[in-house]
Amino acid sequence: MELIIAIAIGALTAAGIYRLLAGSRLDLLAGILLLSQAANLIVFASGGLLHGAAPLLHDATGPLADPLPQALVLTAIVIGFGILAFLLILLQRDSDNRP
Amino acid sequence: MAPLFHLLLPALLALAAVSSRRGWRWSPSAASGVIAALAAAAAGAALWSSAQGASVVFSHPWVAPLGVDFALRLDPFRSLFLGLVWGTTVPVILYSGLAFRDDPRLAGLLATLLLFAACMIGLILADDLVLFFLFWEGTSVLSFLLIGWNHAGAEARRKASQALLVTGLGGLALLAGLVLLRFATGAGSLGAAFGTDLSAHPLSTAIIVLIAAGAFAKSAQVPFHFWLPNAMAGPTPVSAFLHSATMVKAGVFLLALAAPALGAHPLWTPLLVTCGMLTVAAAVRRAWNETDLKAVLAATTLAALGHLTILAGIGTPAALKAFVVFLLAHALYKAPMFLSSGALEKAYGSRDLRRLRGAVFCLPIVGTAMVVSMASLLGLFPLPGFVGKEYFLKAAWAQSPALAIAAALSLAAVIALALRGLAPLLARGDLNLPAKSPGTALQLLPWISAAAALALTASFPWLSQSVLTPAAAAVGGTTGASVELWPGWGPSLVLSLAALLIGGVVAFHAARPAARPPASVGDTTYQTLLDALGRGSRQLASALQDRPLATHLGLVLGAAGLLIAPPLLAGPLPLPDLRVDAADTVPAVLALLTALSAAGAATARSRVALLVSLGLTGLLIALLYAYFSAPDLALTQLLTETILLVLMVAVLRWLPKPHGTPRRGSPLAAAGALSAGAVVTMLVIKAKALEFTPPVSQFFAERSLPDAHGANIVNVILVDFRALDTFGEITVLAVAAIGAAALLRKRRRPAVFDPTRSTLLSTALRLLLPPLFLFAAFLLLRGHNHPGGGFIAALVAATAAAFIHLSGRPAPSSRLDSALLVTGLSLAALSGLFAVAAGRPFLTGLWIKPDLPGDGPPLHLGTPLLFDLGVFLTVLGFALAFLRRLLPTTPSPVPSWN
Repeated sequence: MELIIAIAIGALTAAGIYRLLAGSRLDLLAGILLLSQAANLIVFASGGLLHGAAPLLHDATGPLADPLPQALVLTAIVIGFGILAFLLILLQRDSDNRP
Repeated sequence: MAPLFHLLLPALLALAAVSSRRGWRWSPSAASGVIAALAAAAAGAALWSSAQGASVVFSHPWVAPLGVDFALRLDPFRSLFLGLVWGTTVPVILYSGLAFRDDPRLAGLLATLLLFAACMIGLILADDLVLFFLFWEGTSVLSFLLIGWNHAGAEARRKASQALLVTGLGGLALLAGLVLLRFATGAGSLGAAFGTDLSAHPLSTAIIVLIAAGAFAKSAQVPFHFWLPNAMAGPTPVSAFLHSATMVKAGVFLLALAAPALGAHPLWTPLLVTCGMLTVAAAVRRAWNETDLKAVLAATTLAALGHLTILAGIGTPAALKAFVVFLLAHALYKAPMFLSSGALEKAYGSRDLRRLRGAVFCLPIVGTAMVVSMASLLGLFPLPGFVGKEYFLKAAWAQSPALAIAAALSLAAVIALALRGLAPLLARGDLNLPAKSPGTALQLLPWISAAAALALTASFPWLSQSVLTPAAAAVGGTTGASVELWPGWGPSLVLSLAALLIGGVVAFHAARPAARPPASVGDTTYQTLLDALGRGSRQLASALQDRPLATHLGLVLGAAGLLIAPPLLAGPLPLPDLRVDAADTVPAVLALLTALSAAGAATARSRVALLVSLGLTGLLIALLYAYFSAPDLALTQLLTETILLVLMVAVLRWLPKPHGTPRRGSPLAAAGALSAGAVVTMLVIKAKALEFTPPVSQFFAERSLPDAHGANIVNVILVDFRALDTFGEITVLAVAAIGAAALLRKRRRPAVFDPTRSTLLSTALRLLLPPLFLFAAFLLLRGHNHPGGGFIAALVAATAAAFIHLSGRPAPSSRLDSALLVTGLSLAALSGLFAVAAGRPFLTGLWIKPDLPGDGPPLHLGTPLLFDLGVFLTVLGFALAFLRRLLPTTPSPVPSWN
């Protein structure tokens, strides 16, 4: 299973870098989005991949998934959202300055 | 406490200087008088402590873990240097006060000179290696400021930065040397480090080279000699103070301290003696045809530093004793010469020796001071210069007669230069009269130093007994005998007389060509190197940076890849588990689909295709999170993806075509991207193969319920265990919202679509609003025990807000999002302050359990819930701020209200 996740992460990275290098503003945006998703998945996968073991103590029966990477990734998603929104503001500002 | 007093006094005097104002009773020139009087007292105190003979140590722990102390030491050798600094401060400050009486920058000049004095005194007294280095650098920086004092001129700036660069580079070498010294000896203090013989230590060669490089740069020895003549661009008091009496002595001071420990190393003597000799030769050659009085004086200073380096290089007790005598003698005659040259310049308006013909006779007070000092420079009996020269030759003779003869020749060269350069001042007939009188006070000033020199010579037995002999003993120059004024007949006296004779003959018989002084090889080399460095940097920058963004990014990513890939490929690649269990079919398919949709995003040729692929990728990743037991992540991912797509659609409409469409990357970019993907895949596989220590997560899982009363561990980590991180994060979001507000003022744009045309959509959106807001509140409340929480609830509410924009209703006002941001951050901070009030660390969770009627489960109320509310409000405010700026407002169907 880890192999397939690793391949998916690699594909996200490759797609992100290819977009970054393609050159248009939209490509830049897409590239950053894809790269941040790849990074989130790496952190998430580092905690181990368990099915049906959400770190909720009330329903817990067996081993729990590692909650720490999840907390890290949650904030990373929100911050990544913030970065992209800010980038959109920059793009809009840029297009306002052009005829 | 005496060392501390000497260190703090100049700093206090600098404060006194800056507090003065022109036109006040406490004017800068009045201040200079008071400062000079105090400096004279301090010089007396230094001589007195030298006469006491004992060494005083002041030590206070400073950076205890590194073994760095604020340690000062005052022994007779340092007292001598200290006396020199204070003694030179007196006339220099007085001269500044007199000569620059009407200069508006006088107070600043005095303060800078005194700060320099503080650094110099610190350098002399510092016993700790780190402290010594700090003061050493301090003198370099202040010297830069003082050389470039007339900073309106480009040439002064060039010379100042040259001095800074050369001495600064030397300082780096010195730092490396001191670090090695610390390694070699394990001692943090100069006294202990140089207290043992290091010449056999394996590191000693490197230590010698590095320390010598630092000292040579500071004391302007070959090959770093070129900056000192240029440093004469500074005002006269600066030249007299820094570049003749004090700072340039720092290098030889260090060499003298190091000589007992390193002198026995086979490299020490040849290196120092050769460089010292070459410095004398370079100085004389450079100034041989010079017509600038100050340049001639600077050359003789450079030569004297060369002689001091030679003495430190010989390093025997006799040589160190000669070092002490020569040092004091030089200071006593050179300071009045510089001050006289300043007075002459003031009177004639020029330093050109051809214009100063016969100046000695026109200005007799200055002239006699000049002549007396000159006699000491030539080494005439019974002046201090004579004694210094005598001991110098004696120490060299004891080392080897050949060295003594070479030393005598170098002395002869300096004598010839001085006679040749300064003879015009004594020329008879065809006099030039000064343009104006420099004022009696300025004329008397050189006599302060000259008289001090004469008085010390007159009381030579006392000087020898109280100052010279103890100082020599303190630096390792113990030969039993004290310093005598008349050393008796011997080879040294013969050599000394021969040097005087040769120098005189050469001076008056060598032709004086009208040629310009030769350009300094060192200076041109320096300039060439500096220019080449600047050119190279510009070329490198334009080769790497001055490109389209994509190329620039490619270079950065490529460099990162080159750093990451080799170590990754070096080890064996663990074979991953290739089997996919039947139970893993779902996630395997999800992951493969993610990879495929990423490939789709990479190859999309239209913006719609690209946006659809991006949305699909985000959705698939959210499903992966959901499958692998991360419901909170899945919700967050889903919501941010949704809002982002809406925002992107809105903005893309207004991007000009070439920017708003995906492009095809070059084949090189494709190859780079593919290899980066491969590297990251391997990285993940390898990382999974590592053995992790039991994760800290175990602690969170165990303490979550009993300590934080929350079953959703992810939420508990966010709002309780690691609440400070989250607090920082929401602060970042708030700052981003403020930045967005600054970048983009709201402006009206045509809508993406006109909802009035689609009644169905507009009605559906309106109907969805109340349930969405209710759902957000629900998620917020349950978050501590179930999936949800402040972040997710805020994103749901933000989605609802996006619907408001799209449904054509009047958009929320800008007041709302700033109010949310402020309230949210304040609530989060407030929830942390409860703990502070209770004497616990900021953001520690505090809980209460109110008694409720009925048999329900116990209710726990705590500050983390308040914190989560703060998170909710901040994130919502942030999202609203961006939505309002990025989503177009609908043109109102009835534009009558405004």
